[in-house]
Amino acid sequence: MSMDPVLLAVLANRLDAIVREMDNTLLRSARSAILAMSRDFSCSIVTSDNQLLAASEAAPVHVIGSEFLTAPISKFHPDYQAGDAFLHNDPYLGNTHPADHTILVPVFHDGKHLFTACAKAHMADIGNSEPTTYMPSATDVYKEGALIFPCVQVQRDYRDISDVIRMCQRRIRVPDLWYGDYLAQIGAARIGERRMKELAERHGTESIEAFIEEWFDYSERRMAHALRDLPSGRYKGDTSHDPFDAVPDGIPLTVEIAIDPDLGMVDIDLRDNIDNVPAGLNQTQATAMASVVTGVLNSIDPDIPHNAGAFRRVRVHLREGCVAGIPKFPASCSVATTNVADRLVNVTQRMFAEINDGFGAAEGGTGLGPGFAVISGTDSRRGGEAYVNEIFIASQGGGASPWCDGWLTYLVPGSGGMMYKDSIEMVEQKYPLYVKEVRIHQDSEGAGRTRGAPGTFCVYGPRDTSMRAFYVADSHVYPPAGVRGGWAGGRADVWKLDSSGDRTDLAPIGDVILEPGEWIVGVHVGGGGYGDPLEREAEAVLKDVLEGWVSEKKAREVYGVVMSSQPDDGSLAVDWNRTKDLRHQQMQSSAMASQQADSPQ
Amino acid sequence: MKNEDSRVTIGVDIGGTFTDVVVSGGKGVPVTRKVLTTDKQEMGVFAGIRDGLHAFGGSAQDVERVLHATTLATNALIERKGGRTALLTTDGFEDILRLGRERAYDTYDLRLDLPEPLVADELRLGVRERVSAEGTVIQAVSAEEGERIYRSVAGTIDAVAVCFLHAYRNGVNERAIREFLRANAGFDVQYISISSEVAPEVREYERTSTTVANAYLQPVVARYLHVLEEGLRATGIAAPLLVMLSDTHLVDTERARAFPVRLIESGPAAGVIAAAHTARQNGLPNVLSFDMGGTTAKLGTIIDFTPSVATEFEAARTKRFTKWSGIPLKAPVVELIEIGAGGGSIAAVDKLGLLRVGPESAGATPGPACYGGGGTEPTVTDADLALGLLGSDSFLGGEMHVDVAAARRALDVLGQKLGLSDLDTAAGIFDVVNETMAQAGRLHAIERGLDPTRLAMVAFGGAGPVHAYAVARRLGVSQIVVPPSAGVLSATGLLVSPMGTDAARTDVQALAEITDDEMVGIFKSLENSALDELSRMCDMSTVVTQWLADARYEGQGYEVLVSVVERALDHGEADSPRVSAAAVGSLFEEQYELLYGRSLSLPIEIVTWRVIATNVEETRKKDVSHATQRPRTCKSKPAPRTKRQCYDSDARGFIEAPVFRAESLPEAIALDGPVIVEQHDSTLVVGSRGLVHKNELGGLHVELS
Repeated sequence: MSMDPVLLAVLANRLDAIVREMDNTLLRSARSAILAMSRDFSCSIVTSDNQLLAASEAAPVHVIGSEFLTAPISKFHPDYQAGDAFLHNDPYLGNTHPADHTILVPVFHDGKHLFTACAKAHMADIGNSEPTTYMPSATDVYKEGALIFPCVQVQRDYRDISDVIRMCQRRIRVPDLWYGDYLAQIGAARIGERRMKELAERHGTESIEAFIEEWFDYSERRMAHALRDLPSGRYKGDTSHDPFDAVPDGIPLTVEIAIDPDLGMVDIDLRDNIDNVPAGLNQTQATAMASVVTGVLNSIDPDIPHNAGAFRRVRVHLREGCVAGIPKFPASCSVATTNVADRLVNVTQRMFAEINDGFGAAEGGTGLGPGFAVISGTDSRRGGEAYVNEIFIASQGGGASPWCDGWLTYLVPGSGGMMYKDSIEMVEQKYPLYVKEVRIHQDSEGAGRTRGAPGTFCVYGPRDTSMRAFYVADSHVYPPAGVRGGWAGGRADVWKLDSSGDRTDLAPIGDVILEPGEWIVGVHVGGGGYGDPLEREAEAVLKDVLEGWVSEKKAREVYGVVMSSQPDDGSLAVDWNRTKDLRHQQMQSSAMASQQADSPQ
Repeated sequence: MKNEDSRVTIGVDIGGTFTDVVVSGGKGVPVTRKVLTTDKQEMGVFAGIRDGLHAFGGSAQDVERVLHATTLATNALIERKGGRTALLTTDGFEDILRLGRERAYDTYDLRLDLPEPLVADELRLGVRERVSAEGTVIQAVSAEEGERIYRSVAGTIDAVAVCFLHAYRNGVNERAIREFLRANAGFDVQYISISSEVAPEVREYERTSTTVANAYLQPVVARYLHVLEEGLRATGIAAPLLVMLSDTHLVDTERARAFPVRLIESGPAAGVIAAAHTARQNGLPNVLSFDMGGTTAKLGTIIDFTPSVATEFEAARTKRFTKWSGIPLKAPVVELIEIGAGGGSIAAVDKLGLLRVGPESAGATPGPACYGGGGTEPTVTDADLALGLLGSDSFLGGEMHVDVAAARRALDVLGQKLGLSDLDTAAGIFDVVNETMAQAGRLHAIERGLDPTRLAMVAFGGAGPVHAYAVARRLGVSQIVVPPSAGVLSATGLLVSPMGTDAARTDVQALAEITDDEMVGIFKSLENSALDELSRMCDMSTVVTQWLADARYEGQGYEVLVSVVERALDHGEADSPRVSAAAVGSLFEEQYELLYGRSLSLPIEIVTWRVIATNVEETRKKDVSHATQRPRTCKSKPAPRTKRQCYDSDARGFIEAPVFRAESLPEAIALDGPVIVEQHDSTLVVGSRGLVHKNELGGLHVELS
């Protein structure tokens, strides 16, 4: 190692602290609930040659690929200088999706551009044609209707360029909210700028540059080392996003992976996929890459620096004009950060599991059901003031891994658990609605040796004025798959209850206007299981039954575990003899079945 | 009335290894005693008190107050030794403890290990009831519901926690279910905690978690305090037992029994109070407290002589130093950041050659390699010893033998993996651990809107003074104070802690819409309930109250704590303070700007209202002695005990430094760095850009240039 290992450790630690400080600034000063409460944002530092150096603890789909954002700065603004800031949300130029506004601030030291500080945040509203930031049915970007900013200068000399601000404030439905969030982003990026400048002043450009190189090399070695344990070979995995009006055949997806553990290299090819679809579900370069990389990261040692150095070891091959690639204008990428992205994370981690027991993970809950809807309407408590925002009150189940059950509060594969569930009390203070119930949904877990986590059953409705809700529930047709004999997770479902309690089924992807007295019901998806449920420890099944997550019936029929009440206190216990017999019997019949057909999943 | 001079106060701090006892009074030098913490904590307490009183020359009848800090509550949470507890929630939200905040503590680690809920699955029950966000009862609790719940829980539990939606706004349904349960003749559960009393603040998950922890701890804490009080009485001590809360207030046992969730950080609170006291004695209002012990370092800020107190924290983390891995609790607590960096922290090379220090610790056994207890991995203490920062003959005043060769062998093994010599490795460990602590301190200060370069440092704990100078240099701190006898600092802190109570309630009000009288009304009602409690415990003539508000710009998700009014009650009840929305608004904007560097022209709302009532008598009484002497340079320098080669982090090389013993150092004589000053249980290291002197209180004062 050419650099002092102590200084390397010290500077790496400092970088972490800087992005944390950026995060903290944005979180605490943001105005909209989606940022301040749900934390749908990320901060990062990118080098002047467009390599991701450090990122905050944020949703992986948000942050991996931030380096695509900075390249256009020098291209469009050759004279860029200190004091500049750029607004970038262009999905054709490296951004995730239009709802994520990114603020880019170039950091100079001694007149030299060394870094770019990035603050990316999902806005409450972006001026789409409908009051939602997710437009699954948009046939193209014109139908979406958002303002697109292809790396547009928004500050000069540390001052706003008011033309751009006025454009946003004219078009965005909640202009004050937007501007508050914009200022929070600027604040975060400027803190990053100040701290990185201090770092450069203290250590000098030369040693900082040496550090960056060394740090990338170190991270790359760590990644190569982690990949050494994976099995060598070429593999192919398939999945599909649910069909709906805009894509009646769904969106079939194929991922090809080539692993070379000796070289410590993974190649992921997404080029063999269909062209852009006339719907808002197309991927962007950033989300396609982030999704498959996340699938890899979920399958290996978690303790790796996540930067461009490590990512040199994962080559992602994308094709222009492809649904899971680089979008071709004017294809819509409105929902690029979730649905198809989630499917890509899922299929990647499942492939690793299929290659070898002990690797990868089963699929996790996908899509954004009613518990994650963008709601809008007016609030009579505030003199009829309009509101629009995304809520996060439900939870979806994570897929099982070889060593542990799926993670209960997973949300979606691309979030990495970095979001917060809203407080029901805060939501009811802010918006005129009642939440009736948020419960763990029994038997929605994908059964397995380790099981997926169950999803949630969630009911809410407006108070005294009508409310519109937009939601994008996937996994109604194709639930998250289990792996190695594990079962699929529970399906998504959406319906409406009218004031007399009658049920009307709703399209899983769509929107609804609810009148006072009506309720929307969302069944949120569970994660898939890993391995044969008959091999699950009976005590663990008992615990799930006691918890109320698994019914006694399912315990018996799927896990082969029989319970009985204890004579002394009536408490439930495993009936070991009957369990042994039943499991034996079920294993035999499944062996017979698999001779006739393929395994259950 | 007792003779003033014969009055005795006893402070008892129970830590993991030692129980420290301080006996103090008018007629003599305070006596400190260290006894091993016993399995039954009260046994050590009684032994220490008997011994201490005897040595002090006081009798049981002279004892005026017994002040106590304990790890009992935190241990009961970690070891799951609380009562069997049932949780009653609003129907539809029984899974609240499981669903939590949804936030994971690691992005890519699928093996998350979160704390199991304190309530067993079958004891989480939904109650049909509902209150709106405005506090209106939409559905009251029916008698049938009360009966149903009674039948489900009776006879199987020790405690009940009740947390209904929006109960912070209106607790009527919570009280109703409690009445239904108590009205049943067959219901013999003594402990029912309701969220509208334990933590009447918005955010149902955190409030539920807090109420549950309170109920869970009640049976254990009540039993312990009872035994302790009985035992003291048996010893002949009739004086009241006062207990230290996490927020640095002392309270009577009645309040401690009602809200045991507030006891969790009892010990650390006493330590910080002692640091604040040191700061006050030295006239340093704004301070970073730096406490580095065997396994961890704790850093906190003290502003205007007052320790920073947070309104929420996490206990019983599954990953000790990782946020989001614990049980969130809404209870006032001294705000400390704790990191895995102590004398026993192990240095290692990670998978690919980078030097890491901690958070794994060699603990007391096997301990650092130099202890000769079988430890082979190099620790921070080993590095300090090899670097000459610690003398091999200066551990515990020379009572403890250490093996420098063993330390260097362990360092050498690690050094070979790094391509460094044993001493370069030791220097690397020293630098990395200092950087880690400085980083934590910097973030902690910055996140509170404070500039670390404008803080002084109070350093204590076994390893604190060894590292203080190097950490201070990294932070740009220009003054360090090391209190005398830092080893029993927490017990000493008890003696200067004030009695106090508080009250808080969430009631969201837009500043633009609330009248000044309404604001005063809300604060007054909280003040009355805080004072009610306090009046049971102490004389009220020296009580001050502080009115605070958690405010935010409308729509934001986080609140900023604003101090609105501070008033002394001895000015008379009649002069009700004036509070105006405009004044609160500008106080908020000031604080917001301090934290985030800007303010927004947006409407402001108050979310939670708080009142803290404190009896300042104790703090005032102890303020008599101040360190006022200025250091003077003297031609005839005192002779050092010895000289040794030690590592200088400024020069990144070895230099020769004189070594002094603190007790034989004359007061106020300024010594130029590099210099080492040894105390009984710690060693102060000062580099070449420092100037140190002993003040008249026996503390050491360092100026950095």
